[in-house]
Amino acid sequence: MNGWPAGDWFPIGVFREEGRWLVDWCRLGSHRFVEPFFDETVERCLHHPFNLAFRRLTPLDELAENDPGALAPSGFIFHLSRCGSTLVSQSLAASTENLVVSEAAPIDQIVRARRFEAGVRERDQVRRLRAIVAAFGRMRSGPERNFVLKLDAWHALDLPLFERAFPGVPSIFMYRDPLEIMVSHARHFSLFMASLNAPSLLGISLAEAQLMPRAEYHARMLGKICEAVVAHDITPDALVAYDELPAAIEERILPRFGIELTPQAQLNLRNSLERNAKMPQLQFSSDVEEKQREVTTEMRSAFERYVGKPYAELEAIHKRRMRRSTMPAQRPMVLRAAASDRLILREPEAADAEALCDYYQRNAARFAPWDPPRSADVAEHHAWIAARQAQRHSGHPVAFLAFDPASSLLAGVVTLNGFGDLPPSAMIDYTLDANFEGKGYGTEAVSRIVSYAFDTLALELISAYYHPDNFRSGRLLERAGFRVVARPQIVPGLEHLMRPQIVAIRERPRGE
Amino acid sequence: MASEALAELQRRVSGDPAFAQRLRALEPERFVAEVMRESARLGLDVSEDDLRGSIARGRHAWVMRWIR
Repeated sequence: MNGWPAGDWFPIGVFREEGRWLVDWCRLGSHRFVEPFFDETVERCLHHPFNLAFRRLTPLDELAENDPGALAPSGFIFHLSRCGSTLVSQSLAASTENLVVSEAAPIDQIVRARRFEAGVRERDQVRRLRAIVAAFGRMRSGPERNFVLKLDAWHALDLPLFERAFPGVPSIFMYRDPLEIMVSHARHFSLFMASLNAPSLLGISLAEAQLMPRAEYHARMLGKICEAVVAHDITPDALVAYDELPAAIEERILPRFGIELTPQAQLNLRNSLERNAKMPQLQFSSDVEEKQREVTTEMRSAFERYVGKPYAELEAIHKRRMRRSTMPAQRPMVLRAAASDRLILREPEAADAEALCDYYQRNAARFAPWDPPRSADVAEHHAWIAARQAQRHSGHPVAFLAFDPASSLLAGVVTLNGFGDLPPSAMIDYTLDANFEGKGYGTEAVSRIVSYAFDTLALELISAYYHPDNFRSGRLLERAGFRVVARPQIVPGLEHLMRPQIVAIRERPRGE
Repeated sequence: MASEALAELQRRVSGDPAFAQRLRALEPERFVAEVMRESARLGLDVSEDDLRGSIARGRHAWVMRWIR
């Protein structure tokens, strides 16, 4: 008996009644946590009278600390509020392989219990926190592999508690210029600043908070959090500033959390980044200048007095990381096949070595007549990827792996090489997995790279060479707009050095 | 407070995923009437007041989360 209701019930609240801590459960059904905030997911569930009529209450202390079916947390997102953390959580939630729970009330109720109730022992708090997090980790509709929790802003004051409860689980702290955050809070009400218990974080009463100028109250809250993060001796790698978004999501946050996305998840993430996280109908754009314009003298004065110093200390820690990273990771370029959404072409990454090795091994017999054999040693594919990453043309990648988003299978490889200057030109090479042959995938992949070569690399001419017996290759090139320009003859006596081949070219369309 | 009959119905719902799914799939407008019918079928004397009271308490409990 682990104390959990069967199936798809999840905790929506934790409260104390008649001396006992109780968990209030609600049935989620097949719905996922896709709303920007936990409360919105619950609201959605509570639209149906079933979830109001059939709630369950169970004693919190009967919950087991873990469950074999629950995902362990991949990472925690702490933040200073209004600083892009919802953009991060929403971009992750866009993919079904990520379970993302954002600012869940039951977690908050456990974290804050000690602050409001004397006698709560830390070891009980640790146990309860593990249990409630495990309860969320069970909420899997099927494909979830990663589990990210975004906490409430004030939970940064409890970083040590989270570390004790989840040793080794990475966390990040997201922040931005507190003046811009103060502008945001002045514009829009937030539970963080306005809940009845919030003033206790500052050690003041609700009445005192109500008499305090708003800017001072906001600055003191932000200052308190910044102080706690600095005092916690946070590492530079854990700090993510607003102006690093959205690139930091793929370059820093996902690697820190050990999350590797499938090509489809990567695509979903990038698509979601184009939207405003809290209002998905709007496009995302940085609002630094706009917010700085709204900073008042009163805000600036409160900032200087209550948050300026700890913020400067945070920035100093963050700059240590910036200085250390001399070569920031490059975001891999991703192209979509123009004709459909069924192929994603992207630069190879080190993590693709195994897939690449497998690709060449399973197609070895098919490729043998036309291409030299490839090694079965993954290390050699690692080396090939590293070499392709280093070999760029005018700063742009020259090799692409084509993935089928539906199956995540490597469907093909397309590379450009032999670059010339007069005219700007290159040769194109391509291979296609047997599963994708004869269905137009090869034409789509080659056509996409040809467009890229003309549009991005500004080439004028692309050539391709193929064996006369390789009819499929000839037809593919023809469909991709190539025309045959030469059939070089084998020079008598040099048969052992020359292979029969056909040369096809495609020129940049006139007027482009 | 919930009646014994309603409490029993709630126990059955939370212990039987298929039953829960069937009730959750009901049109909200037909929910109370259908649950009354299901209760009668199970021999549980759940009153409409019990059920509507439970729905109201659920809503109240959720609203009270703001007081924290």
